[in-house]
Amino acid sequence: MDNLEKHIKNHRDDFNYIETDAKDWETIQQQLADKKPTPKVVPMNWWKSIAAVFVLGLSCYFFFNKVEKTPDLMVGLEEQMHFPDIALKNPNGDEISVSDLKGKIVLVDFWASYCMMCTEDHCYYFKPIYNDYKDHGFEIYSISVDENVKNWRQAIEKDSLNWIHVSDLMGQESPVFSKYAVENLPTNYLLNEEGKIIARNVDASDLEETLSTLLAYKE
Amino acid sequence: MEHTITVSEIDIINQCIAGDQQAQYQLYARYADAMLNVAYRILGNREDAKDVLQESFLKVFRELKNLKNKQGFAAWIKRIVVNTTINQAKKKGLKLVELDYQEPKWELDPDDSEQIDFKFNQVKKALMELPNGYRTVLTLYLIDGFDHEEIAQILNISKSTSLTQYSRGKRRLKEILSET
Repeated sequence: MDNLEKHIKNHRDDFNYIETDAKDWETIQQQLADKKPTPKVVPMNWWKSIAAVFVLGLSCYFFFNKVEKTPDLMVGLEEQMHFPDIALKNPNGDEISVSDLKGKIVLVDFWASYCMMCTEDHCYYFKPIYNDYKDHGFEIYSISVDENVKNWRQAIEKDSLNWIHVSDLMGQESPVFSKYAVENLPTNYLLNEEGKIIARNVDASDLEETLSTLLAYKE
Repeated sequence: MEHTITVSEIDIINQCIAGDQQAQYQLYARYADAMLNVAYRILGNREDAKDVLQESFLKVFRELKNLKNKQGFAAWIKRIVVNTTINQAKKKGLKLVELDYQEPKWELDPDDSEQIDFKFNQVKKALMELPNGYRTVLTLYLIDGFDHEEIAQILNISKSTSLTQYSRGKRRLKEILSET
């Protein structure tokens, strides 16, 4: 080890010189709170119901008008919405669409071979669950945003990920980012048998819990 | 990497899993600054580093219940931050491996560095002037304590590439320092 290396190692702690501020925590706290959807059902009397229907109708009107203007931008795919269909090619060149998988619980997963957290999720969390439930009505539809077909294939083979893999190989330019409101990798959507979104960004325990409830599978 | 974690921190982690907001803040307060700097040293940009910090902590609180070895928390969170940073860098189109390296016109005498009395502020400044790829490998190795095997895995490159990047980066850093 030379002098420069020693110097840097000895000053390790001094390299932590920028600081967070109160706003950083506020943002995180806000987002943590947003992730807990607890809709409250409040009993309404008749005039409140009429008001609610009126407001709902009005917001639908504005919402759909807005969607028409920006057809590519699906801001916030929400739970209970129908997952917009997509058909992409797998590594063998066969086209597979999400709607082909109707009747199954489907995890649509957005990833890339260079995304370490994605590959960790695949190996440690999703693979064991997939193997348990694949013959009982569960499928994973992994959409890769890789550009390089070789990297994509290698990543699938290396971890022996034996579910459905598709990609348009357009990398960061892929329209799937805006179509499905994918801001970060990994992102996933869990769909029910009818293709409706039942959850976004599920983790392993959510997934397992949902599958064990929805699919009559016992060891 | 060696990390130690106190018993009280394990309590805090367990309270976080139970959904205690006070505990979540405590855990955040302990790690936020250090983790922000991990991201900053790679990205070289404060705002991007803050985005990484946010995303990382959301992931931490979401995945905490799946963490089997609580003792390994410090290493685990650092890994999450580094991975999120690398993703962010790729999204921003930052090069993480420098390929177009120009050999320096003159070689530093290997003994030169022994005579230079390094000033920390100069080293700190020079490090931020390095191309992203060199800085990434150098900081991951020297400051964050990852070995070349781990760096290779993180950056999805071979161990030998990590080693060459490292020695070239170090040479470039010495050049910058000798110019000032």
